[in-house]
Formats: sequence, structure tokens, C-alpha cells
Amino acid sequence: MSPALQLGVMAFALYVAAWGSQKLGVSSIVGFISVGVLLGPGGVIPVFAVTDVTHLLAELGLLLLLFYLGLEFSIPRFLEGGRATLVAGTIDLVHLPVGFGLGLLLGFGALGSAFLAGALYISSSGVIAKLLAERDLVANPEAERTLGVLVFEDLAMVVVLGGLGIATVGGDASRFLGVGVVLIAYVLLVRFGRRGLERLLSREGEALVLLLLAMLVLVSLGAKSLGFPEAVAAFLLGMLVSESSYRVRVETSLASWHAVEAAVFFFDVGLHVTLGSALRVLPAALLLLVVTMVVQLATGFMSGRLTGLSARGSIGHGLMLLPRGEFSLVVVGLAAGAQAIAPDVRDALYATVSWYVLFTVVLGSVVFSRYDGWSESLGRWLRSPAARRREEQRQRDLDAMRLD
Amino acid sequence: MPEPDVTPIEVRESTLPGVGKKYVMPLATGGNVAIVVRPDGQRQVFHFLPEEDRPCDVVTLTRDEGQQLANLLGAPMVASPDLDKLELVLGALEIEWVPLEDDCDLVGRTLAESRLRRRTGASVVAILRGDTALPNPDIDVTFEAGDTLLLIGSDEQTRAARALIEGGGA
Repeated sequence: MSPALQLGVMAFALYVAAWGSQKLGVSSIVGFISVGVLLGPGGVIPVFAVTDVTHLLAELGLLLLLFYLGLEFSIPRFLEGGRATLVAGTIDLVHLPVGFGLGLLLGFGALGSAFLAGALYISSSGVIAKLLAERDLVANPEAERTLGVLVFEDLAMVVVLGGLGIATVGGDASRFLGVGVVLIAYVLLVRFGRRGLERLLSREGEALVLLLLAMLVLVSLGAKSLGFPEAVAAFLLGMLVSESSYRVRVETSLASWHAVEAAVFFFDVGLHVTLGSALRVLPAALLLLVVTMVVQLATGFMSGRLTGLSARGSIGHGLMLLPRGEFSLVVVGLAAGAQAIAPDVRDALYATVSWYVLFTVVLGSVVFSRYDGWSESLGRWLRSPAARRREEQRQRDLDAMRLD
Repeated sequence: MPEPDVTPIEVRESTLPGVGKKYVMPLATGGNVAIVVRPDGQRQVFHFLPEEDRPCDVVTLTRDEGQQLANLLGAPMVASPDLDKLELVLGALEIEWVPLEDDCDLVGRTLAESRLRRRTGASVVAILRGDTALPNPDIDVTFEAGDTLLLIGSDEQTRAARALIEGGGA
């Protein structure tokens, strides 16, 4: 197939995936990854291979995904969340040691387990924000807490990814220097570059789109050449732009690029996973899923109760945080390039986490479609005895009034 | 007959990252109304009954429906604070809203001292300060941090003024 034909066929396959996902009421990520697996080199009908076309688009997709996360989930948003976000976000960090322990149990070694910890920790801001909006749950108090925790997680993830990036290059001093240079440049840019950035972003129409694209790719690749994870660089750039007065315009002018490239990013993840691997890593992926459900619901419930949500809202907060997504895949993508991890561990890690992400997103879609009923009954079951007595008393009062 | 003065009710505003803005207003009958505004102008109105943390009903409105509903409720809807969209083009005439940053050199100076019209050709027709507006400001009005200047002039004039102000105003 010529590159142009490849692009056309791929766009059509992804269109079918997006449309099918909408019909089934699941997140489109499920469709994109599944198409990649089923029609990829290790799938049922191997139509697609990993080529320069998919590779290029997927790489751009990664940068755009993270850039958009930076635009929405930035430090000012975090500060707005206040104490409640801080408490809930801190409790949520429990996932990191749990993920690390699970990694050791599954034989991923210390470094591989550190990557698994990151992948298990981070809920998918993209999937969750979209599901919340589609299901009309955005006004519930627990939705605000959930979005606050997502901001917390994304910011924590920048630190975790930075650490993992350094850990993978080992004790190479020049790389340390490179990472330092990137961070110092960023701080200087935040401190002194506002006005220049503001002027740059005042461009209009196609000039703005091209400028943003050039900025995103060049900055990320520049950072990468200095040993800094390009995904984090893209996120930081998004955060910087989010504080300019042109945030909304930037968002709308890159929107269709973002949609296309993000689809290819998930499709490309599917291409790298074979159906054969599914059988091998299925037990591990299911174990991760079960542990995530237990830990996420427990921490979600606890932090909800500590920050003033009702029993129903608190368990709902845990339910909402279940889907994993783009950031988990970024983490294992980074691990796939880490020479310090044994090749078979890298492959196992990648396949396990890809299936795990797929499962959590399917589970999340189901949870969100039954959200009201489930959060209600779980909440009733979990509320304190005092609250239960109050509720029963209220019910009796109501009955008594009716009898009168 | 003029309507009696309304007492403003406190509205709690919060940002929902990745979704939009949420405004919650308590109701005298108990419970409250939450309005979620998306970047694309869609508005959702949620009704919460007293003691409930789940909405009992939701109404989804497009930008136009929201505008119409606001008219029916008796007040023109306040435009969303989207400065980009507040650019009005009437032939060669431009009206621009330009906020004054804290570190802008114009802060603390008077309109006369700024010589904005002489330097750029654009006129300041109003200063928006907090909830109030100062239409046709006197030349001895002092600029404050957080002010938004309403400028009028040709495309070039307002552009020059914006560049001057955003460049620090020196």
C-alpha cells in the first residue's frame, strides 16, 4: 500500500471504530485499540503494519494528547481545588506503592515495577472528563472532587515520569545536565517569557495552527534530545500556554488535529499488541484490574468521606476514577525504550498494561452507564449506622404523614 | 413601572477542568440550581432538591437556546469572559477589550499621562473595573491593575494600542 492509501484505509477503519464505540456506548479509545489489535500484525486479519506513517502520526498524537492535558489540567486549576483536592489526591497516591508491589510479584524487577506503579496510579483524565460530560454527571459534587484528583494525578505524573526518565538513563552525568537545562529553561520561560508568548499566540487562522504545531514538535524533540521525556515536555508546554489569554483559541484551532492524532496514538498501541500475547498476559492484566477496583474504590470512598461527600458521592468518586488511559500508555511507551530493563520484561509490561487499560476503559464505560443505580445502592450499603438510622426515621416520619 | 431592586444572591463559581465552568446558586425553596457552561457555549441547568447531592433534572441548552431563555427570564445574558470573542468588527471600526496586567507600566498613571490616543490613535471609551464600568473616563482617571480598557479605533489603531499595553505600556 502506498502511504496515502494506508492513511485512507486507516482513517476509514478508525471511523468505523469511533462510530461503533459510540453505538455501543463505550469510550472510543476501546474501539481504536481494538482495531489496532485485530487488524494489526498480530491480529485476526493483518491489514496494517507498523510503518513510518503510523509511527509519525502516533508520535504526534502522543504530543498532542499531553499538550491538551497540560492546557486543561494545570497548576492554577490545582490551586483552585484547595484543601479537599490535596487530601483526596494524597490518599490516591497509595496506588504507587501498590503498583510497585504488584510489579515485583509479577517479576518485573525494581525498575519495571516502578513503571508499572506509574501506569496503575494514573486515571485517564481524557476518558473520565468525556464520560462525565456525556452522562450529565458534571454537576454532582463528587465530579468536582474527581476532576480535582485528576489534576493532582497529572501533575504528580510529571514528577514521576521525570524521575523514571532519569532512572532509565542511569548514572550518565551528561543526561542529568540535559534534564537540568530543560527544567531551568522552563522556569525562566514561565518567569520571563509570558509577554513574548502572549504576542506569539496572538497570530490568527492558519498562522496560529502552524506555529503551534512547530512549537509543540520542536520543543518536545529538543527536550528529548537532552534526555528529557518528550511527553512531559509537551505537557509542560500545554501548561504554559494555558495561562495565556489565548487558551480557548489554541484549543479550538488544534482540535481536529488532536482528534485524528489521538485516535492514531491508541490505534498504534493496538498494533504493538498481538492477540497471542493476550493469553500470556491475561492473568496479570486481570489481577491489575481487580486490585485497581479494590484500591480505587477504597481510597475514593475514604477521601470522599474525609472531604465532606455523602456515602453515595464518596463511592461514586471511587467509581469515576477507574478508567486508565493515555498516561498509562505513555509510561509503558517510555519503558519500552529503556535499555536498563530486560527486553522480555519490557514486552510483558507493554502488553500487560495495554490490555489492562483496555479493560479499565470498558469497565469504566459500563460503570458510567449504570452510575446512578450503582453509586446509590453501594452508597446505601456503605453509609454509617447513624446515617442509616436517620434515613429510616425519616422514612417512618414520611409514612406517618401519609397515614394522617 | 420600574422593577424593584434585586438583591444579588451569592453564586459559587468553580472550574471543572476538561469540562467548563460551574455556577451553583442556592434557592429560597431549598436545594439549588447548578449551571455548567462549556467552552462551545452549551449550557446545562441542573436542579438539586434539598438534602440531595444528585440532580433531579437537567436541561441542556445550545448557545442560542441559553440566550433565549435568559431573555425570557428578563435579563440579557452576560457574555462569557472570552476576550477573543469580544472583538467586534463594524466595517473599519474596531472595539477591543484589553485587560491591564499587574505589571503593566500604565497602572498607577492617569489616562492623560498614558497619551494612549496620541501614540496609537485609539481612544479609551470606557474602563471596566470589577463589576462597574466608567464610561467616557475623564483624562485624570488613574489606571488600576485588573482594569479592562474598552478601546475604539481603526484596526491598526486598536492593534497598536493592544501591543503597547501588552508590551508594558512604557
